[in-house]
Amino acid sequence: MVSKSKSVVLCGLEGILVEVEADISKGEEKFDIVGLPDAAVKESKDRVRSAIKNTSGSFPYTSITVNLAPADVKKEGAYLDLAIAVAILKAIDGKLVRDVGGTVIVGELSLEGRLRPLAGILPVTLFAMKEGFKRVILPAENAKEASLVKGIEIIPVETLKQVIGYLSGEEIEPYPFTEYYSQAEADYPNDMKYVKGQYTAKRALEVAVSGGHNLIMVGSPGSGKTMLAKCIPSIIPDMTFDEALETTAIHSVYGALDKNEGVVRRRPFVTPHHTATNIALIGGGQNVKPGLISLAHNGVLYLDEMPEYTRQTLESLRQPLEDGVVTVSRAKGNVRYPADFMLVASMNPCPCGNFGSKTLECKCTDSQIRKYRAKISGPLLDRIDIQIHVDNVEYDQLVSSSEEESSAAVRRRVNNARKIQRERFKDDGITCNSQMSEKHLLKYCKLSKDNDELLKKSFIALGMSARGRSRILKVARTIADLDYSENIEKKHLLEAIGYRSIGIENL
Amino acid sequence: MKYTADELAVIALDSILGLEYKHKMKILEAVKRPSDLLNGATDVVFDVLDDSKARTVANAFGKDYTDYVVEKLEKRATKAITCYSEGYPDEFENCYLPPICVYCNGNVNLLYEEHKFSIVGSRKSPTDISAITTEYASALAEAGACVVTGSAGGGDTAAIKGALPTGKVVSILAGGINKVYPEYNKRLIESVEKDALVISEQPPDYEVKPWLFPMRNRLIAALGKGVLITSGKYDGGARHTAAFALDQGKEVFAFPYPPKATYGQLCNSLIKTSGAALCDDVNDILSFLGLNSEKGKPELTDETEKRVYELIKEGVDNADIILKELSMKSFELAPVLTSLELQGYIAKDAGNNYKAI
Repeated sequence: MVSKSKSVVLCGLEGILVEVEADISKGEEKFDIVGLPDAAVKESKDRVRSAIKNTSGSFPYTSITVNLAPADVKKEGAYLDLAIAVAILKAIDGKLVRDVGGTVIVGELSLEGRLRPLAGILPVTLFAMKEGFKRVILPAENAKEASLVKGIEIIPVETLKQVIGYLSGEEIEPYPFTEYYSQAEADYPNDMKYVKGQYTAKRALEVAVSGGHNLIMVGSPGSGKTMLAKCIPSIIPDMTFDEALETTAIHSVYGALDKNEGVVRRRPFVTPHHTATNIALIGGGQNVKPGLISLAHNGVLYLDEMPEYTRQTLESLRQPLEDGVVTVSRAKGNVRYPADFMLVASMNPCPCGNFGSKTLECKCTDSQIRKYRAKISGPLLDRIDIQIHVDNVEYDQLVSSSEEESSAAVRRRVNNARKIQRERFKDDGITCNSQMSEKHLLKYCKLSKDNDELLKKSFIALGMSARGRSRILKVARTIADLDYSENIEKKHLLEAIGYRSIGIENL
Repeated sequence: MKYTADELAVIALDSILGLEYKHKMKILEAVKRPSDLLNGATDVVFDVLDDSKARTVANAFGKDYTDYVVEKLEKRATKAITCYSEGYPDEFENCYLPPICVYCNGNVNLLYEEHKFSIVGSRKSPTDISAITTEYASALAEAGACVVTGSAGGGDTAAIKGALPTGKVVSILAGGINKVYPEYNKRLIESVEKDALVISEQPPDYEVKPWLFPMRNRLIAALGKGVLITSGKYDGGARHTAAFALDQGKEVFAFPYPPKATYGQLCNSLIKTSGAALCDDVNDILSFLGLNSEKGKPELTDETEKRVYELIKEGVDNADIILKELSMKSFELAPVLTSLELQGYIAKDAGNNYKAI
């Protein structure tokens, strides 16, 4: 006889509904799985056999065929173990009468019949909810992650035995829905209050974070670029529920999710090393996994010593920076991963680091400096809204005991600015100023006649490229938001102009 | 472009590769008129040069050679002015090793401007010094002077950028007239060709060699009435320009630098030991040239802007220190700084440092 169960496999972040059919007939002992399974799914045969044997005492010596429909989609991962076991058990044991037609069953089995947690449970649950399923049976360790999804019943199970009990009519308490709250930890190891001086850089950081603008810091070794960057997690705005869901889904698929937490509550701060390969950064590989830039979705991607990254790696960031998504194409298929991150980069002014220093002599030749700076191409630099210098701090300032503003105070302003932006863009499908397109610029960044004249003049006086215009307008909009100002005023525009080019052409 | 027979002969002679300046001069001294060379009177060459070189010259003055050379010049609209030409500038006539031939691309009239003034500086000029250089060059050009400079990055580029809008700049190349060095300045030099003048002593296609730079510097020093050294190390190329200018009794101006400033070593030592004039105001140069500056900065009206400008003028140059001195917040100061910069009162130095202009 044939019995069925339903499960879900993932392709990127997209779910695919899989119908598992098990047929048991008399005859020679065999156990086949058909329907384009990959290696991990084929192996599930052995896990299912042992798990059933060790749970119910025996495994039928009959001919078993399991079909995974649709047959034309390659099934990956160990998601299907539990669904296969359920289909077989229902086929051999007539007492397991509970209808599982409206239930998605996922879980990896151990040989003794326990359930192991899986990566990617959140996207699976979301998919099941959208497809109209009533409940999901999943490993208990994944329950917290899945419980973020409203409108679907989560049945956590620890062993196959519990599942058999459930199928024969026993009840399992569904896992309660978890209310999301963003977490602003009270104490960060790197707080703005520990950074002495650097007022100009700190202000630039605040503006960048408020509007989600990409930022590059140029400064000598030891000037505090890295320290400033490490403070960013302490001032980035809280994540909304929708953002948290998106980010958690990616972290879940990547396998980087904290099981006890079950959700990413803080904006991620990802710091790839400069030797990271293109695929590690962008995504791809055997199973078309998301890359580090997708892991930084809704968060920050920090590239320390930017010119040390290979040219190819840096250029491959251009498209995601523009679109906020990255499409990874492999022979197996195309997978789209969201990658809407804020890029923060730092670099030295020249290979030896002393160019522009008042006290130390720079040993580089001018062509060396040009070559070093040219590693960051113009088009890439055009996508970095805020470009600032970081000075060396004097020793006196370093040891001064004067109280600096804390990150909590900065974060309050940042959160307010973000709230204004969300309110403004609620019908536009974007959330912050850095995402504005030309259309939005026309609508929200109107300049008075005088200010327009001023901007025009500054282009000529400071030798800026025409592409810099929208960059300046976006930053000016954020500065106005931080000032609770409806319109972009002269002072906002002037400050924005100040965060301009780091002056490769001014050498 | 029509050349006289003498001019043609000199241009052809100058284009022969493998001959050095001294060889060419020997030939020109030996022949009665250069045009004799065209008429096959090349025997005299064998008297003054060794056989292999003389044969090269004799062969070169075959039938089509002059046509070929002139055609090559005309293809790039290059005009050649020889030491036998009428328009040979007086400045070159009196200089050390007068160039045999000067190749020009662009507006040749600039060579005969009355108030030519040279500006040179290190390729690694500090950014604020570059800004000041640009400002000076544009002030000089607007007041009617013609700026003479080289073609490299840093000081030269800053000077070109200042004077180019007025079209009053002469850029002198070290290599052949079509061999721009450094490569990254190619587009800038092309725009100088279009709107102003680029000249070189070397024939087209002549590769850039290190020893050509001091040679070129003697022309920069020779062409200007005086020269401004904006920056440079002890051993920088600008020292040649300064030395040539001093030799010819020209006025040398130099920016003053604080002690130990690496890129001010040359300037300070020129002021200290060679009698260079300390220059901290463009009017120093304008009054030397007998010109008047017409350009004035707009009056500062904003109180905060005035206070910040005063502080920077006193030498408080770092944004963070200004913040502390005036107990302002960063977001209050940033617009003021940009505004002052736009009005031309201050220039951004490396890092977040500013300098009054």
